[in-house]
Amino acid sequence: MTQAPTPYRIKASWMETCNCDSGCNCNFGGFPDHGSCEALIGLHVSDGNIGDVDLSGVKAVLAIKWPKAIHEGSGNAAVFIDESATEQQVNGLATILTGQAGGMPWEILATTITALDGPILKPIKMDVNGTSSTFSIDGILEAKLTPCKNPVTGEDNEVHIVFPKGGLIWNDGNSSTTSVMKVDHGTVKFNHTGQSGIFAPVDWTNQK
Amino acid sequence: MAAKNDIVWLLKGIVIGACNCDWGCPCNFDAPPTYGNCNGAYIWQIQKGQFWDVNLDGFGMGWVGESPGAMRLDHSTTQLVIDQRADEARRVALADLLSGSFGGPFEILASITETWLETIFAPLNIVLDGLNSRVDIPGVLDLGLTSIKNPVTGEPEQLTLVKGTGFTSNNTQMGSTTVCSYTGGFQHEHSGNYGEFAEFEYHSSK
Repeated sequence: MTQAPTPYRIKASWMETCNCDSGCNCNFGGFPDHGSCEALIGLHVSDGNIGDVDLSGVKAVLAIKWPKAIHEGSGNAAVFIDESATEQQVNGLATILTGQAGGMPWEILATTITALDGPILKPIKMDVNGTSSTFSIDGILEAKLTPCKNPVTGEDNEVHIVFPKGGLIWNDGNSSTTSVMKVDHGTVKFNHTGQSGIFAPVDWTNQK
Repeated sequence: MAAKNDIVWLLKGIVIGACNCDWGCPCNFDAPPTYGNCNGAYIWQIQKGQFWDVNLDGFGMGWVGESPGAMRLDHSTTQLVIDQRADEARRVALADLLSGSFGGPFEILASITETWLETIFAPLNIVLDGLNSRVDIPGVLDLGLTSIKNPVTGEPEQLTLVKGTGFTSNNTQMGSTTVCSYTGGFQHEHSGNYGEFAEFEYHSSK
């Protein structure tokens, strides 16, 4: 008999940075504009739980390299969770992010990952502040989002990519760029400062 | 005739755009064009329009341009298209608007133009149907919009660009094209690349 996965629902801030040009082409047909997909993602759970484990306030960072488009698979991922999380919180969030608890987007994204390192417990610094958000782990990675600038006037441009019927990961992404974006952790090593950044609220569950 | 700054005008309708960039067009995000250069067009179908005392309801106009780099780098070559069905007063009004002298997005498009080709007067045959709209301007442009397809499922994607500071529109349905052929002052073929559909409302600064 198969055991039903533990029910979960989490609301979080999603801070995505990658090697695509601003806007990230993958949103518009799935293929990255420089061939591969190399991403650093900060995740701050504002509210949520898995079973009776409260996940509010838990912080995580994903560092992932896919050799081609995400849906073409063979991803190499490292999952970091802030060391202030309890063992139950670490296990709960890792269960969600590895797709084991089902639910979108992770039941799909997990199938694109072939090598997974983690969860690795580290002190994560994170400032959730829209398209000026930052996150870092000393000696390993750092990302700073910064708003798009109007090329003529120099003023901030607020540009949203919206999926009116719902996107895979998020529904309304506030598009930006980065002033820092780099990681050096084993085989996951890159620096794509100045490319795409996206800030989005997410709301994930494995319940109908 | 009133002084330039006193001209009151208002245009509402649909703007259809297409270019040689990949889907999404990175220029929307202040990034460089996908292939380095920009070949694009905007076609406006005016549903409600007034320029001073000239009624422009139901008329159309177009802007076709190319630029060796990003459009914002100010080296664009531009060709304007004016609805052949417009009478003399309307042609003057549409030409005045498109020239950029009276503001709106036309002022920005004019400011990046280095070379002006001769304006074309042609019928704008426009069938409005969201991301299935068609534009046929004989001798200038053949354009058919379509939706982006999900790379895994093949299903049409609904995707909206919401940009408060967008200069041609603030809420744009992003898609692709079944056909995009330029046959006027420019000769390009960009079928399958970026296309967009949006409502617009522009008005004079007063």
